[in-house]
Amino acid sequence: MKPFDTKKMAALSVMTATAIAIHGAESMLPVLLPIPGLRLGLSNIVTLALLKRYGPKDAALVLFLRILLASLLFGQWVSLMYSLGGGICCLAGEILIDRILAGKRLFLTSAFGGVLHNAGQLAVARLILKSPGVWVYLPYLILGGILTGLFVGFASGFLLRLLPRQEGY
Amino acid sequence: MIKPSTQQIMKQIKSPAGILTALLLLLLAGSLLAILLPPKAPEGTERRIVVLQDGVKLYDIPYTESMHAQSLRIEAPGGGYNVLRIDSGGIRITEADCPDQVCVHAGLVRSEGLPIICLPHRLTVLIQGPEDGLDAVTY
Repeated sequence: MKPFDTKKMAALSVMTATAIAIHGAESMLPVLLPIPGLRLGLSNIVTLALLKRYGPKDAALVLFLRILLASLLFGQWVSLMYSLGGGICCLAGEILIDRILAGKRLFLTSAFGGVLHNAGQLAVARLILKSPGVWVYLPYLILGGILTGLFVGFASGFLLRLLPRQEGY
Repeated sequence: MIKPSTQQIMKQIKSPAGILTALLLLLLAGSLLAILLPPKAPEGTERRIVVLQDGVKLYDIPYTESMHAQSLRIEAPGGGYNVLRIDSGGIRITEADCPDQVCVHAGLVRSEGLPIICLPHRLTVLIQGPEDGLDAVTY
């Protein structure tokens, strides 16, 4: 077992704070399209960069913390379940696809992540709303997921280039 | 530059990245088709306005062109409300205290197709055609 790593903890905390800030700023944007559950998902830039730099465990940790804290801070606890469902689907898919692609072509991983996020969120919405009508929105959410996912992928690519490499990870 | 041979191109297409790109393009094309070619519902006379909350049917109102305008205030179980406006032109959520206001921005809905959904208040409002009845709703 590795000794407690203060440097890593500090780095992950800063990343969590950044993700919460992005999440919060995004929730203040006006609604662009009236599609339930469609968001830019910019805080996923942080999750994806963490997945690449620190690995799945730390990315998952920061994802959970971000969703829990952002939901509490911005009074969106009602959307906690949707965010969690989407976030878990997204990260699980990204871990798998990043393995398949051997760590290359981050934008592809991210595009699938976007689709999976929206599909997972819609599945949770289907369970909570108990109305099959929500599936009508699936094509819109797939399309939106691909577009926002591509953007997030390129953005995390740039972020990874700028982030200083940590020794030992 | 050397022109890649057909074999090289085939190898690239058959790589994981090639297959995943193809899958993504397929998803893209499929969703575009589904958006641009919505299933056409027959111009039935029997249309209903259905309001579901947590999967429970709160209202099921026959929808006619000549119906008088009315507003319904729908309370959410966990607090909060949506105001549904019904008139001959269609249905819309005029007011809600949910954080995202997606339901309000959905605007006027006059036919079957996209339901108005308020995720925070677990509310679905839709116009149902004659063919998809109650048996489509699972609990």
